Amino acid sequence: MATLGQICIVGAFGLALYAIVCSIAGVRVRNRELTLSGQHAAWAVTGLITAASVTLLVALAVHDFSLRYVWEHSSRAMSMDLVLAAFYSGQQGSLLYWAWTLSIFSAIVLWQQRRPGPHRVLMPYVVAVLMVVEAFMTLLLGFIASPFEALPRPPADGVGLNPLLYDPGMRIHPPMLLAGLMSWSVPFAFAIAALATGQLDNLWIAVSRRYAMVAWVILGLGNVLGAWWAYHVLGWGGYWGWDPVENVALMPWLVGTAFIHSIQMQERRGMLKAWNLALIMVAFFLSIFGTFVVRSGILASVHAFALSAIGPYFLTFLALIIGGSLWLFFWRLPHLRSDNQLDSLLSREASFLINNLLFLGIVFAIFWGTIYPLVAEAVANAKVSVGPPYFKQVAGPLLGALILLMGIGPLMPWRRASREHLLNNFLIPVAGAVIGLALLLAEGIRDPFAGIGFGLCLFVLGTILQEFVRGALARHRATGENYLVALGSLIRRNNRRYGGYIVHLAILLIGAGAVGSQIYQQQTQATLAPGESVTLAGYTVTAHGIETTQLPGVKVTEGVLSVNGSEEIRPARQFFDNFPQQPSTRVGLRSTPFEDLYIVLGNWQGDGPTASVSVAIFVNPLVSWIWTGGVLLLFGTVVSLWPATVVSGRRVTAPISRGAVGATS
Amino acid sequence: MILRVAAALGLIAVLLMPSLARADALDTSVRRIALQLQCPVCEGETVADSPSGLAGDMRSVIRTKLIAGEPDQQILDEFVASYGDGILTEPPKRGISLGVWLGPVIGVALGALLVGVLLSTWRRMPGRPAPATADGTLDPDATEELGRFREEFGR
Repeated sequence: MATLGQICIVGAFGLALYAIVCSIAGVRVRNRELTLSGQHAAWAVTGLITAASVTLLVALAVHDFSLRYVWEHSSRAMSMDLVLAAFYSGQQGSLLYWAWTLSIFSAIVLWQQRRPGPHRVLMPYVVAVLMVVEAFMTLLLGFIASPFEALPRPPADGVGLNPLLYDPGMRIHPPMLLAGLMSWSVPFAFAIAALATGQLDNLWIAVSRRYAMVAWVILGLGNVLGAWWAYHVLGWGGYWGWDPVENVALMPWLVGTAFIHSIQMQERRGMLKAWNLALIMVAFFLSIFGTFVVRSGILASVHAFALSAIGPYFLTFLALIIGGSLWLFFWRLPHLRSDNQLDSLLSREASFLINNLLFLGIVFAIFWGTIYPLVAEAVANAKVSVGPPYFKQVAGPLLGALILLMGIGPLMPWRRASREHLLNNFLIPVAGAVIGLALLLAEGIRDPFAGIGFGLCLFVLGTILQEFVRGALARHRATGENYLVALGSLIRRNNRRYGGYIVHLAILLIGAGAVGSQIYQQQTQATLAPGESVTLAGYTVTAHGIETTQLPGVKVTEGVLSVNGSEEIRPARQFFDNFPQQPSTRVGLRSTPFEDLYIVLGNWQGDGPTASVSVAIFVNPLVSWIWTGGVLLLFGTVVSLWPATVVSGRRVTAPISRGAVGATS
Repeated sequence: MILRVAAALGLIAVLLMPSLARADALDTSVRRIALQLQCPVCEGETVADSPSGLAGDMRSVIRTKLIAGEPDQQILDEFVASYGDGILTEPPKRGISLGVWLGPVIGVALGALLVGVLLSTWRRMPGRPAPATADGTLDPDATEELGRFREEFGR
């Protein structure tokens, strides 16, 4: 097994190098055969990495403990789905998973762009860039962090998975997040191809926009799932701790969001060409940085960084790709002039610029806060902790401004807005927000930050609903369809635009959920003997001792509690046989649309129904809105991507958008 | 002094009676302070949320001091005195920690300046003619926008 896997990886490394050389040499000497050979090599890389991944999966499935990775991350007691999830739960395996998904994405790109067309000129460079990334990953996997390292004397059983990773959320969150980080490689490859070939107009964006959207939604969901996992498993009552590992996964997503917005400036107005290239580069660099931090934990301290085996390689790779990209970028910069001028500050163009400023401002603040402890340690040998209060205070106002802009920007016309236009578009949403705020005030919302947060959300909600209602009304008048059908066909015919609005609604839900749960969380702790109760926010929680069950490989102790005299809720602690010192938490959760009752079992004294238990009880308002927002985010993106859905080479190359098609009809 | 002893005795009494249900303002205060302190032995967890023994001890120290009537700031200052500024989750706006606060301010200010310069250059750049030309036809941008609306409203 070990040898087979190792051969596949090393073979993939060699073929990736071959593909790079062939693709570039093929363009240089104008030899079509050579570039084709490079593409075939890329297909072969996909095959070999798939073979390596399947080898590891089989080794896990048959409990082949002669592989160190299998021994370290799985055990015989684990259920099969968990054993397979062990594939991406360690450093080497998750790097292999990263390389595997990248090879699959490369194959998809090659397949979708196989037909002749203007984009073909980009393809050799796209292949070369993707294979550079692939070569780097296979280099790590083959020679530095191999998942196929053999143990001389295979032990009888494995160590097993870290207890924190036993949750169902863990089976889906890491693969999503890693795939999300990986997938920015594709639009980045197109950007580099555009720079290398000098095809700097809309071509590369037209071809890669969908790939960027896919990367965006995968990474976005990866982050939401991470929050969901933290909420259910870590048991501290929250879902986002501004931890370095969370921050590095959020940053490329934010830059990607800025990119998805600002490419519209280039598509519609021929502006910001250089800026878009720079943005996608930054998104890619941050994704590589993120993969590296997630997989090595270097941000804990400079010393951990030096000890990490893959650290220096990642840093070298990052330096090389940044250097190379910058060189290409400045070489082409004179050709990246804007086609148009700006007509007015009250315009869509100006709001996109401010959007980008805010997004990058947030990213910079997060980046700075994340690496500052390292900087302080290296420069002044001082220990500085940068915790959630910093991120909330710095990113909070910028995020608020961004929400406001989310209401204003989409309603701004291109070029220039007139006073009538502004009145016509903003009167109703502003009035709606004022009325809504008055109602919230009557309901007892007094916190100024909650007022600002909810007020902004209401205003943006008004602008979006207004767009849907006006569109449906206009369509009803024009075609006589009933209102619901009109709404449906409105979305179907303008899916890119209305899909975007649905995504904005999703962000509003997440935003409102965050405001509600951050400001109105209530918490208490209590130690309860059987029959005793504690009351929080209208919930009376009564204790009835504990129940302990021994399952294969794990002992589960549940606190038996009842809520308001009837409903039973059972928070638990799980003690895995292989990790007795690391009990994991299973939160007792009772979720309603407006608030969650969230109970964490602490300690207990005694046993059975007579035991007294200590519990931490939280009431978290609006948290379920965040998860609903995640689902809506996916839905909106799918709607937005649906259109002339057949993502074939021919369709994609038809430049830009249906907007341009409409102009000729 | 007598107050302190009484408070300590009270605390001991409370600790000795774990079966006594308690959920009061004191819990909220302990949590408020513990949230501002970084657990010294964990990665990225506050004293309020960390399950480690040290964090638990620190929470009881906070509780004792609160019962003794110390104000929040004094309790925080005492922790800073023994552990250094690194114990605070919110980096203080002084010394080396000041840099973390200044960074984003400078960054966003420079960004805003850049956008401002960009906007003013663009507005001065010679561009295409004004929207409506002499013969009454619309310029390409406006035609495109019109086309989009026509399509949207199904005409």
